[in-house]
Amino acid sequence: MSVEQGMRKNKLRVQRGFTIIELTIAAAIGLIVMLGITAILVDSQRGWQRMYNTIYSDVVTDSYVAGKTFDAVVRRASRQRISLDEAGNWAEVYYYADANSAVVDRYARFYYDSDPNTGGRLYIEYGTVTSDGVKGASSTQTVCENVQSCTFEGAGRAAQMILILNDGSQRATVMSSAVMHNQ
Amino acid sequence: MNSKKIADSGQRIADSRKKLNTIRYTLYAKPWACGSAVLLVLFAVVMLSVIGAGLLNLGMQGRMLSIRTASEISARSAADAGLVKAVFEMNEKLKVIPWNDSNLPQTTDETLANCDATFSYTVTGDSNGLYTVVSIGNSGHAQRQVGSTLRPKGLFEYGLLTRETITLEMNTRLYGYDSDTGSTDAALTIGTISTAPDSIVLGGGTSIINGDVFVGFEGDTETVIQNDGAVINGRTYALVEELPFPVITPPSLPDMGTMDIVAGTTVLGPAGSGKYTNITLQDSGILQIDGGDVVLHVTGNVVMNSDSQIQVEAGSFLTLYVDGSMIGDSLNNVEINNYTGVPVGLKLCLMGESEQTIEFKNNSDIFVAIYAPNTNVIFKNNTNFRGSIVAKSVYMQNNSIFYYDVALQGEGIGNSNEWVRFAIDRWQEE
Repeated sequence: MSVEQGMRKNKLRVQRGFTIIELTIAAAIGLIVMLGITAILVDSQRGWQRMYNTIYSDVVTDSYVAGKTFDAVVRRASRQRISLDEAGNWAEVYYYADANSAVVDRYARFYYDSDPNTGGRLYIEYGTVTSDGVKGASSTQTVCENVQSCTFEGAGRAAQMILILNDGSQRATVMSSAVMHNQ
Repeated sequence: MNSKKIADSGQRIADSRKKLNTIRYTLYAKPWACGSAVLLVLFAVVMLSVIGAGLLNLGMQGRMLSIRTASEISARSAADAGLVKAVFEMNEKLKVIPWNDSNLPQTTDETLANCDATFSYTVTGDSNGLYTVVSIGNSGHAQRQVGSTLRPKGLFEYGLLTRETITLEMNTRLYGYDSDTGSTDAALTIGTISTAPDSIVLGGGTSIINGDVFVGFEGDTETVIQNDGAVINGRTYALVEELPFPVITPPSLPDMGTMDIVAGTTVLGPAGSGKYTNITLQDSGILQIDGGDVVLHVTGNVVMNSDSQIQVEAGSFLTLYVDGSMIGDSLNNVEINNYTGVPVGLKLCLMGESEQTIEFKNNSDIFVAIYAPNTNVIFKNNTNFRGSIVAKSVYMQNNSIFYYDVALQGEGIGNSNEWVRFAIDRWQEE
C-alpha cells in the first residue's frame, strides 16, 4: 500500500462522525455532571447564606441588641420597685441619673407595640420622674423591629423579657433576665 | 539484503504514519474541544473553594462571636460574684465586736468556681464611714467591672413597718429627719407587708406623709391603701421581695432576779444590766437609767402601775428586751421618757409571741426605737414621736406627729451587730 493510499484511508477514518447514541449518552452524562455541580454550588450558596443570616441578619443582630439593652437597663435599676403590666406588655424600672443623684430620678419603660402597620416593635422610653412619681420629659427609642411577641415578667428583684423576632424568613427568641442592683 | 530492504520499508511506513497523524490532527482536530472538561472542573473547584472559604470564614466569625459573648458573660458573672463575696466578707467582719476597718477585705485573681473566669475585688473606706467595693471579673480577653457603695442596714430601715395595719387619723403628719446632722430633709418610708385591702388607712385634713408608702409583696396599692385625703409626697409601691421580721436573741446577761420599784426613784447604771424575771414599777415608781449603757432582759413582764416612769438620762442608753408583755395600768398615766434627745438612746424590743398593745398617752413627746412585731402600737391624740417602729400595727390618733430618725438606719439592738449587715446602696457597672 502506497503512502497516498494510506492517507486516503486514514482521512476517511478520522472524518467519521459520532453516532446519535454516542451523542445522546455524552449529552446525558454531561447534563448529569452539570446538574450535580450546579446543585452543589446552589446548596453551598444556600448554606453560606444561612450561616451568614445566623450571624449577621437583622433579626439576629436586633435580638442581640434587645437582650443587651434590657440587661444593661435592668441591672442598673433600683431594686425597690418595678412596674409590670398584668398582660406583660410593658415593664418599667427606675434608676439614678448618675452617681451623684440622691434619689431615684429616672425611669425606663420597655413596651411592645403590636401594631400590624409597623410590624411589631419594641420600644424603650426614658424619662425623668420626681420623688412622688410624677413623670417629666421623656424620649423614646426603637429597640428592635420585626417583633412577633414580647412579654415581661418580674420575680423579686429580677425582671425577665421573652422576645420573639420574626421577619418572615427567620425567627429568633431572646430570653433575657437581669437583677436590679441599685438601692 | 532482502531483510535490510524490509526493515527500511517498515521504518518508512512508521515515519509516514507519524507524519499522517500529525497532518490529521493538524487538519481535523477541534481546538475548542480540547481540555474543556478540565476547565469546567477547574471552574467548579474554584467556585466551591470560594464558597467553602466563605463558609469557613463565617463559621470562624460565628465562633469568635460566641466566644466573645461567652467570655463577656463569664467576666460579668465573675465581677458580680466578686462583689457579692466582698459584701459577704464585710458582713463576716461586722460580726466581730468592736468593729475594726483597718484591714478591709480584698482578693486578687480568685477563680470563679466551675469556670475559667477570675475576679478581684477591693474594699475601701473613707472618713465618713462609707465603704466602696470595686470588683473586676476577667475571662479570656473580656473584662468587666462593677462597683458599689455599702451602708449598714439594720432593723430600723423604715419609719413605720408593720405586719398588718397602719392607721392614721385626721391631721397626722409624718416626716423624716436626721438626729446626727439635724437635717429635716431626710427620706421617710412607711409601709406594711400586708396585701389585705385597706391595710393602710390615711386620714384626711392636713395629713401628710412626706415620703414613700409601700405595701406587701406584689400587693395592689390601690386596694391596700385607703387614702381619705392625706397628701403623700412620695411614691406608693409594692415590695419586690418579702421583708423579714427576725427573732432577736438577747445578749447573755447575768441573772438579776426580780426588780420591784416602789414609789420613788431607783437609779440603774451599767452595773445593773442583767436578766430579770420581772420588773414591776409600783405606783409613782421611777426607774432612772443613768451613768452609761444599760441592757435589761426581762424574761417575764414589765408592769408599770399608775404614774410610774422609765427615764433615760442624757448620756445614757437603755436597751430593754421583754420576752413577755409591757403591761401598763392605764398607760395614760405612765411614761417612758428618753432625755437623751435622740431615739437611739432608748431601744425597746418586745419579743412576746402573744399579741399585746402599748399606748402612748396624749400630748407625749417620745424618743424611742421600737422593735415589736407582735405588738399593736397606739399613739393617742397630739403625740409627738421621734424614732422608728416595727410592729404588728400602728394606730396614730388625731394630730399626731411622727419623725423618722434616719440615724437609726444601720442600728441593731443591744451590744451585738445581730441583724445589722452591709447592703449595696449604690451600684454601677463599667
